[in-house]
Amino acid sequence: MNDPSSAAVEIAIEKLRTELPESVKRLHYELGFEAEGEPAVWLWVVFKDADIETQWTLENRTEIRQQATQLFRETGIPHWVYVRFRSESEDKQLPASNNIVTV
Amino acid sequence: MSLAKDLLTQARQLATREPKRPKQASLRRAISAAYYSLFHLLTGEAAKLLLRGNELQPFQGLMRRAFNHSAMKTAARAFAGGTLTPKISGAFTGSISLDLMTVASAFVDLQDARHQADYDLSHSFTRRETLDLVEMAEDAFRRWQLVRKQVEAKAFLVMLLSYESLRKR
Repeated sequence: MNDPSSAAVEIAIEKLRTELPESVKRLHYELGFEAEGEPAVWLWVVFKDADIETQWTLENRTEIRQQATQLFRETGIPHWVYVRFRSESEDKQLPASNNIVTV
Repeated sequence: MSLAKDLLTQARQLATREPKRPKQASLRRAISAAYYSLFHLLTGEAAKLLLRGNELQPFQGLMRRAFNHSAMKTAARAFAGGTLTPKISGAFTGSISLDLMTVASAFVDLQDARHQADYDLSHSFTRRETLDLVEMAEDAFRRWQLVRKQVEAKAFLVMLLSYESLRKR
């Protein structure tokens, strides 16, 4: 399970996708290693532009972070999951990376 | 105002500095300032806790230099994830509150973000992504004020300095 390319991570993120609110447009994630060498997952949660005004709250983002952490823990994945947030319009401005998977 | 609070204020100012197209330099420095605000808050609190009184106050600045970022992250991760070693968790009579776990988790997240912001040019940061991290630091400050007098929070400060060596014994 220390392998960051583990299919378990992919399954967990697919499951998380189904549990997130409708204000979430898409997810990106990347597997890798932290500066200390520990395997980790970086997850970008992209909010729909139309829902930004009402749904972009600290409370909602904290809840999503906790959901992701909880799901990884329950699935037995030891990776730390770093959750970042973007808006849909910001996401379009950024270049795609080969290492990032979109769900 | 303390250095920690000044850095937190500066983080938000940098994140919102350019009204339209934020510069990566501003966003990256904002993230770095957000992390260091929490770093200085916690190391300052630890030094005050461990070196109390007028006689020891001059040593507080020296002690703050003894903190190691990586070791602090290891300790914070254990607090946030409930993965303290049995010997250490056995010393706790109460449970670790959600507020304290959130402070610990924010420390881990912000340190990683700071590392990316300062060294990793393969990823760009967006303004909202940056503001989210700044708000995470602001939230950690608020939550810390709620828990700082709890014994578990004081133990957390001690562990930020000692967990790395204690967990191996």
